Amino acid sequence: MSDNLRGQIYNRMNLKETLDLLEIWQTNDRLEWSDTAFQVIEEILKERKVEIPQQNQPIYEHSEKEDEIESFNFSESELKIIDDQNPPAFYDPFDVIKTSRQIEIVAKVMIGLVIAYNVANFSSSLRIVQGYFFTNPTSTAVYLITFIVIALNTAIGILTTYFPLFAVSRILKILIEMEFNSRKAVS
Amino acid sequence: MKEQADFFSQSHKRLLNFAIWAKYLAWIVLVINIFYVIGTYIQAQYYYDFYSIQRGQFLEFSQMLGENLAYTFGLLVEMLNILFRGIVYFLLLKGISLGLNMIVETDINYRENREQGNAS
Repeated sequence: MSDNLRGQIYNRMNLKETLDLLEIWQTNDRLEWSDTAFQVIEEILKERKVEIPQQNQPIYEHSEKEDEIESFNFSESELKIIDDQNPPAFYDPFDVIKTSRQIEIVAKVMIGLVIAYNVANFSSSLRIVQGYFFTNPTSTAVYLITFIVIALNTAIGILTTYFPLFAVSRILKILIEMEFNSRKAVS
Repeated sequence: MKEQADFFSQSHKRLLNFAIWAKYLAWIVLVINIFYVIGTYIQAQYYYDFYSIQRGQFLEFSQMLGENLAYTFGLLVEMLNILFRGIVYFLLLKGISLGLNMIVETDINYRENREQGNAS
């Protein structure tokens, strides 16, 4: 069984780039990676004929990362995924949830920015509309049409930025849940 | 050893390669957009200086920004628009990279689970 686990770790680590393995090796984060993982990394680096550098002092606690995790006010289910004893090899769950949150924030900021951009470009929109009504460019209808054009442009801008970003954020959350469930099946 | 080498298919390696490229490309796109923001400001300043000399105006660009608030607002919005476009691309590419890694991880988890099931 332990050989099986070692084999699994080997398979995953062997797919990583040498630079990534060297980074893990040097960082020497004993909280994130097990002793077996470090043995496997050393073995792979030797197989790849890479000079094995000296390791940093072992890290046994993550005060900075824990502070960052606390600052994000994660939900119980999110914390369960982050703190799982069987962490994934190819990505950091904290990074995924953080990115998902950042995408949601940026999606909201983009709404304000799209509105501001269209307001700031009012004069150029007005000139375009006036180009179609050159016989009476200062009539109320011209301003009304400009307003409608800007409103439509703003709505389309919001739809084409907010919803795709929101969808990506949700897809990341769904993928991490799927991966977490498959992880549980392994353990 | 061959068994271990066969554990990852070409599709896994391809997906992980895409993930690595997307991760690096995200940073490249972000840096390019930051330079683009700076470039936009410099360009606006250059055009202002160029035309103000032609018109015989001797107001500093920073002074003009303080007086012409509509122009300042427009320039600020344009710069923010470029910056946030960079941030959006950065986050999307980072999301794609993480998503691909999660797909590979999930598939490997299920494969391992299936192999354990077959072994027992």
